[in-house]
Amino acid sequence: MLAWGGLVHQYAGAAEPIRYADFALGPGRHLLLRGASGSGKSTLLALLSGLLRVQQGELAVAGTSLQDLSPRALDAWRGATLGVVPQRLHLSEALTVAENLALPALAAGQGADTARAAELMAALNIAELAGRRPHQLSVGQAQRVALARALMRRPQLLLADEPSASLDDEHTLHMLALLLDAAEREGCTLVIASHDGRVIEALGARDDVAEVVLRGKPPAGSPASPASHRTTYWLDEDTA
Amino acid sequence: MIRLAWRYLWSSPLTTALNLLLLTLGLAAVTFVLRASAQVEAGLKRDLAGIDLVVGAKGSPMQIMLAGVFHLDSPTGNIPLATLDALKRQPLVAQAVPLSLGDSFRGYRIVGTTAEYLDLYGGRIGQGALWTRPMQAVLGAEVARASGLKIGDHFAGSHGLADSGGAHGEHPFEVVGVLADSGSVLDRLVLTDIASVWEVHGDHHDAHDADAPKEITLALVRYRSPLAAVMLPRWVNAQDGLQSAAPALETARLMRIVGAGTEMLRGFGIVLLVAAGLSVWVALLHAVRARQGDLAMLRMLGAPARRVAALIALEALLLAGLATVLGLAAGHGLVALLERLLAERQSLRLGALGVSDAEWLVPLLAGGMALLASSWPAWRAYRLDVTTLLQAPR
Repeated sequence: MLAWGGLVHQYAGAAEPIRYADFALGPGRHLLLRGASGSGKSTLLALLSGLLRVQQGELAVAGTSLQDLSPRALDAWRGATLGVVPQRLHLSEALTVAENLALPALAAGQGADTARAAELMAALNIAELAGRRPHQLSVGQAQRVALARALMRRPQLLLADEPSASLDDEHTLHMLALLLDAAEREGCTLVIASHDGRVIEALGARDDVAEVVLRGKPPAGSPASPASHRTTYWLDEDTA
Repeated sequence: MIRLAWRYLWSSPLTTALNLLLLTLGLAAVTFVLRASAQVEAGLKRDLAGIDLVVGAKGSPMQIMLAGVFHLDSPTGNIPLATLDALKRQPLVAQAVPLSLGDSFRGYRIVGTTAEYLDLYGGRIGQGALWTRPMQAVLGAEVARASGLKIGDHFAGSHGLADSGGAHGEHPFEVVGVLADSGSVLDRLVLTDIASVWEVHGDHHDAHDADAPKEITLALVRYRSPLAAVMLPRWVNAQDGLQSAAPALETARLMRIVGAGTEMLRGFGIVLLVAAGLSVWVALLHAVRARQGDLAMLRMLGAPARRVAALIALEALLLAGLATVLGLAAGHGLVALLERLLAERQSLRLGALGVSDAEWLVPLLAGGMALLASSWPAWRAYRLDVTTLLQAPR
């Protein structure tokens, strides 16, 4: 479902590249991606979502090799394959909930899929909010709307970036439950990027979640220990 | 995308309304100038009606032309009736039509002339008939409408071209005809036989003047050959007490004088448009900054960068489209107001016009300005750093 090998990314002007150890995630499993600031987590998320082009190595998501796609094809692929719940939900204040759900189709240059929107709003229990603006929603309601938007085009990969940021314990657990339920119901792979202990604890107990930790510094005694502190390491190899 | 751009546009209603107002005012000013100048020119050309030369008493050629062709000024004086015969005898003259001015009815000029004057403008009798003897009058369409006079009614003219002159109550005119609306100067004139003017004014003359040579005010001349344009004015100006005025030349001079005002108004319109353009530019830049999260999300949802940039340009174009419609409507409304004002003052009637060629400039100007104003904000939207925007809390 998700695999990369020999993946290296270097930003213009950066002294050292970011190297990612090879990795593969089988079908039916989800991924918890951990990593502190500077660990290369944001870069990996950008590569996974096709916002950054693969410079070196291979990256395959849902059977598509992203390094082979042109920027235009990457845009189309992202719209069709990926559902994203960003750290900040970014629901458009200019639009109602129903109109926010029409955005994925508009972004792809297609007409709004009202039947799919109705189905998701019913499934996520937000049907009565269709005419409201984002500022009229509670935190929990806004999360559901953002999740519905991510699921509108039936993604194969659902990507949630720091879904618990600025949430209390109750909302954090609620959000995780929503994401896992949605992934199960829609049959898609869930990738959660987080360094929140509550999320790590909640997902660590699940057998269907693989955990990958990105570290900014090499562990002592590592056989492949390079000089750069920017190099990425997989501390947990039990990810396949 | 259009609907989305529309919703984004009105997400800041006050800013959008202000920009719309600025753009509309600028476009309305430009429309007004383009349309009014085209209509004034069309009106002047129509009233020139193939008249090549106006001959009057010595004085200003511009005054003679304004009095003789457009009936907007007082004539410079009278000329002998014999001048008309002398002009008709000139081989270079195809037609010479006499006009006798001096009286008015409720501000509308009473013009003593011949049936040839109507032919110059292709005037048609709408009701009744042309005069067959002195003291019968044919009313222009606008005069009939304004006065309410009908065939068979009588009225008395006032001395002078303003309504304030003494009435010629003892010499009433009988209305025998009403002209069909022609959109020309004929609409605001009262036409009568040239002898009517002599009859009315005979009473003002002393007894010893009764046998004095008859006079007319002006003669409208059409040339037989282009050569006349060189020869005839010289001949006329060489005659004692006569002055020629070439309407085409005088009208061009008039348009140059009026043109300075027109240019000023057009410049004002352009200044308004530039101000509106700057305002739209600032508003769009602000919108891109304020909505960069929304735009980044669109990119994340699969929208290509060019579509996100097009969304910004589309917002400006929608604003420009709306301003174009409102600006054209306001510009046309102002011209209609001017037309009404001129009609109330019994002044020049503007030429009828659909959409003038120059008016196509208005949407082009608005569209061009919108694209120019949106180009930098659209480029900023095109270059958004999506990953940073979606990850960093603001």
